[in-house]
Amino acid sequence: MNAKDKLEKFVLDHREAFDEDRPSFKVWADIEKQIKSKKVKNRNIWIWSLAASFLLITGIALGILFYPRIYEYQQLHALSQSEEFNGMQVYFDGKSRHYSPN
Amino acid sequence: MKLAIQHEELVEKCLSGDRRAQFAVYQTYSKAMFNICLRMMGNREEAEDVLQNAFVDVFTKLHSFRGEATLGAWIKRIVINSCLNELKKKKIPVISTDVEFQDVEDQEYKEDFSLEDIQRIKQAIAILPDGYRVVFSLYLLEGYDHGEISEILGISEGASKSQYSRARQKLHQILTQKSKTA
Repeated sequence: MNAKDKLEKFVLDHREAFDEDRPSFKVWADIEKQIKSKKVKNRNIWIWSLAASFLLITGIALGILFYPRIYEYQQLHALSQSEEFNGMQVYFDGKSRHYSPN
Repeated sequence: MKLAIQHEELVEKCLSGDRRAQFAVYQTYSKAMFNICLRMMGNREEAEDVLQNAFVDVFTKLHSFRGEATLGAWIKRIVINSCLNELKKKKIPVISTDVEFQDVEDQEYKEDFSLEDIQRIKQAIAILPDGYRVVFSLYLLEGYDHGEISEILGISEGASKSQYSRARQKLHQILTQKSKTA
């Protein structure tokens, strides 16, 4: 800063005297109260989101591993329930009776 | 260097929720920060409210402190921003145009000051219009240059300069009036 007038110079020369006030003790007590509640909340959110993402990843991995087998089973099951399959069974049952010995 | 390491440790402890470390940070900076709030807000009650909110912000945002500035400078910016937000809420323009203000020639202040005048000057700063007080405090007492003030307040550098010079003149006016009536 250049061209200081007397007031500016005086203020800067006594800068510390302008920082003499102190806040009341209540201020820290209120800060402490607020950071306590925020901290707990934040930590919980962190843990829950970690747990949720773990479950999601496990779910996706299990899906990828087992989906082909489940699909195969479902196909077989569907086939066994179909009329065509039942018809074939009736046909083979008939055949087996036809070819039975004696 | 040693101080920087100490601060790094302190920040780490604060982040892990160490209440003693948090109190140490508060104790180190609260007095200077309170005086900033007092000058920016103009009264004790609002200054304490803003200081409280600012320090809650400091502790909840500490994870974003990267150490590119000193811890003190980082806290100071949060405190100043909290003051500005509060002033904006009051809907008082931070850059005020004082209607009653009459252009005084930018003369040098002739009077000599003594230690007894400190209180008088503080009171005069406190009764400056918000816009003047903010720029005056940021420039002369907090040591920001006009470039930085323009960034903090979102105004041009020229506006910061002219606002400062008007604030200084207004302060001269208040002090002269006060010394005449005294």
